[in-house]
Amino acid sequence: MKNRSIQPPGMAERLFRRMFPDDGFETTVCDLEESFQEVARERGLFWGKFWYWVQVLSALFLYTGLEIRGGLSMFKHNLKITLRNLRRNKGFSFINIFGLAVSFAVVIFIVLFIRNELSFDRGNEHLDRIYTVMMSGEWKQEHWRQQHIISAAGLELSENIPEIVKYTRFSLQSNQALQYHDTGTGQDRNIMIKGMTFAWVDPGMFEVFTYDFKAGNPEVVLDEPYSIVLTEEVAGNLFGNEDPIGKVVTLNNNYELTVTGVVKKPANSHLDLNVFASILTIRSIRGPDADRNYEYNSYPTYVLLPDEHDLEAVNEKIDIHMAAVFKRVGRPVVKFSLFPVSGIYLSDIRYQGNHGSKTLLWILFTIAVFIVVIAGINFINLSTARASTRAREIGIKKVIGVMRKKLTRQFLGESMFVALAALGTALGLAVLFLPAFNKAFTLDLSLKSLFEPIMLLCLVAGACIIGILAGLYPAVYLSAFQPVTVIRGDVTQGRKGTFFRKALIVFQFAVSIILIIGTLTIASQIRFARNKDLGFSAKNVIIFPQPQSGSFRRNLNSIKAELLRHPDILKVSFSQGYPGRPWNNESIKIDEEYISFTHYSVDSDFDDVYGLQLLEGRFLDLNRQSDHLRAVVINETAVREFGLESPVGTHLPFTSRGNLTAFPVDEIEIIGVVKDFHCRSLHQEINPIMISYNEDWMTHGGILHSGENLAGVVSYTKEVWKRFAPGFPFEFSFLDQEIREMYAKDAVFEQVFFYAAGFSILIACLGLLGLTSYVAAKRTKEIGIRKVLGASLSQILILLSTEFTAAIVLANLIAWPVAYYLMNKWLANFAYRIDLGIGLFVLSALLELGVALITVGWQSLKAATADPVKSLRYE
Amino acid sequence: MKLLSRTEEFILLSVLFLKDQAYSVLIRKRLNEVTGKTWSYGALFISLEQLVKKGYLTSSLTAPLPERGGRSKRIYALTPDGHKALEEIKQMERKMWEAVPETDGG
Repeated sequence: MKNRSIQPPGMAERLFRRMFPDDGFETTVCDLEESFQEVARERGLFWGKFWYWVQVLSALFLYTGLEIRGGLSMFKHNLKITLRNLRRNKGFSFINIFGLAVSFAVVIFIVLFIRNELSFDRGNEHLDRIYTVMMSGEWKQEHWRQQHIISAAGLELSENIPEIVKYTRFSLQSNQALQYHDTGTGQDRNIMIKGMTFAWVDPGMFEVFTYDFKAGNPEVVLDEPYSIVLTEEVAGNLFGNEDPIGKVVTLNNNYELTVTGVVKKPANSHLDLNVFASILTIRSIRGPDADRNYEYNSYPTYVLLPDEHDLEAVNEKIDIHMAAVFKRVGRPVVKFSLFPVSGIYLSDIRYQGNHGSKTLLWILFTIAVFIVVIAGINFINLSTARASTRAREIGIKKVIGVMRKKLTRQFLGESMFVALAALGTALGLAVLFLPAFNKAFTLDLSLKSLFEPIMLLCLVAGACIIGILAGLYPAVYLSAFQPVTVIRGDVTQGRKGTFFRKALIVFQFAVSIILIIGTLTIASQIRFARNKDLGFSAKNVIIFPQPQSGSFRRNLNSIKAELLRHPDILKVSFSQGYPGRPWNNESIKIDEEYISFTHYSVDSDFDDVYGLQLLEGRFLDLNRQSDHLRAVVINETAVREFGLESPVGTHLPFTSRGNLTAFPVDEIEIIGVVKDFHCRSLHQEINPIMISYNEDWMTHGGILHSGENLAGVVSYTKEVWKRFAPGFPFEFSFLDQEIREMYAKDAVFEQVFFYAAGFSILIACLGLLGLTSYVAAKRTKEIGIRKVLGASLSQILILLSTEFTAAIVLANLIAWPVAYYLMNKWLANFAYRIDLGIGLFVLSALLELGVALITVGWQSLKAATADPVKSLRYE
Repeated sequence: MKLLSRTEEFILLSVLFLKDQAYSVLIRKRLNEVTGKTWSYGALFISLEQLVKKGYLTSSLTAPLPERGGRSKRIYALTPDGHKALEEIKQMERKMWEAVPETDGG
């Protein structure tokens, strides 16, 4: 080196050396440097380095081109061998590819579902700026948090906190009737907005939340009182094909509202709303302060913050301001803070609207992982067990001089090929079964999201990774064969290999046993919940929401009398809420302690319609004037919690919340005690209940019928309804069905576990089938000799199945404690639950053992009944 | 036997021309001179490697050279096969040229 200061760029030099190592003599690098020195001398160091880089890069370009061409020919060779092997062993290829494909299809569905769940509220343009105002505090050492806050809060905050750009409150209403009088045909169209999907909202609604407007301007649609925005579905039901804008609809036979906009209901939103009416309407009906109340927590409130915001600072401001407001109106101060809407759907906070379940997502994710692992284990086991079939190929290749690294790569390529083939099959299966999947889980997933480029890319990448992971052990195992022993035809596999395989089988079966136990536990808990004596009778009861109209309310007695004229209508009762669906919660101060209770406003036939059992005293009698309002019937739990010795006749002081409650009294008198009944689902413990009479707060009617003539009862009720509630559509439901639906979420869990268990067993048994058929084939000679020597069929069957039976027994031992722990955790969701008995576990074990023995036995039987003459002649 | 490509032919001729001085730097220089184009080292090394593999060239290392920091040069030389291949292509070219009537040179 003549001139040490003129050095070629180091990285380029290293690169070049790698490409042309020249057996370590480095003449190539020296030659390049010689020319570089010349260039650098003539044109300067910079240009010299530039020249050097150009040389190295162009060399790299040529070099990689050559490598790829070389690699391609190797790839072709490997592909050919892979295909040949797959074709030669059709059965095993089928098990490998089909098992993986089924597991991939399961994963695809789970990914589609998870993606759908994660997409909630993403349609909002300003999602990361939308927050809901939460109120929180401590109650009896327990933290509570709620979304329903005073209506004044939204106004106070928007007036005093400059960071709040826009806001909207919701006053949610159930069962609102809308009527449209078509002047053209002279006909009326009525619809009932069911559930809590009717909302009085602030004009800022559509600036906070993004809705797809089919008609109307989102910024001004709700700026005027008496304006209303409908979803397409509602508009279609009311107006048919007519243009809804400017049409006048009547709300609850009372107020006339003008349609100013039509929106598309977003598919995935935590809000479940069909009608948006301007909150200014309430102001113009009930006075300017009608929506500025400081007492009742009934308005969910959402705010929009600026692009750049400091959440901590805003939270502090909100909390300080609300504390001042609460002090001003003389209420105990509680904490206020913002909760991001982006995370609300999967959170565990309670709000009105659609809820997702993070737990379900995690369970699904775990199941997806386990099912893929089970399929991957099949691949590992079958490849290593059948290693001898590849032994010659490996031996010859090694003798010719193929490096171990290349062999490893070849086997990895093979497993990747299998994984990709499985992915292709899985996509086919997904397309085929998507409609069934949607139906089973009442979803509306489309294939479009499956065939998005990113999704496909992820799937392909995932399949490759799984291929590599599953292929890693076999690849290392196979490529480690010693050519000399292998070519001699001596492939005695070490005990290590079989032990590893057995451990994997045990794992596979342990997972499926856990899933079976899970399925059985959930199924029996749901059966328990549905069959449990609820303390009331839901049989033959029709429930209908009562229209919120004065004329209906005034006529309750005549309606009842009219309904009872039908021979099959046995009893009729009107009430606020009904068993299974409580409507009102209050609290009473007893011994300086607040005890919350559920309150029902009912009439005197409530106990008959719902079959409540009176234990002491009497039920409400409306003929006695003294029974109005202040006479109450309580349940056993209330007797206990209130600490009453002889409840009937007891007077208790009670501070009501004024006129805005169904329970406006200052003292109550207990006149009777009913047996405890489950007024909520079995998830919740029975709480104290008070039942009293207050005609003004009825929300539902209940009809007990004989069960003989349901159609007649319904059509007769409809007729009566038409007379007393013209303009209100008649909607009804069956109480027993509603009780069932309380466990809809649990039923989804049951289904998920059922399918997961089914698939895991299917795939695990496929693997078992492959292994036994291979073992049976390998031991053909042994079996033949044993038979010749006089072994009986059963002896041979036992010989072949003992190993696998032992594996399953071991799997049970591992699975039981895990399943016991997990299922007890799930059952803790229920206040009333089954005990996890040993029977359930034994049943799952027998189920699993049965399926496995059928799988093993089928192959074993084939081997055991084979003619020994034939089997001994082979080779 | 496969015919030589023009690149191969030129490289072989350069090696022949340079005699015992035929190492890559000078080969490249010669090629640049004659063809008037700049040859890249990458292309040159790849072609040289292939020619060695095909048996048209052999290579040998010189004794360590002080001006190269104690490292050698790789000197290339034609094998009999290389000579034969060159001769062959030359014959063919001559035949091709003889078969056509005189060109006007433009």
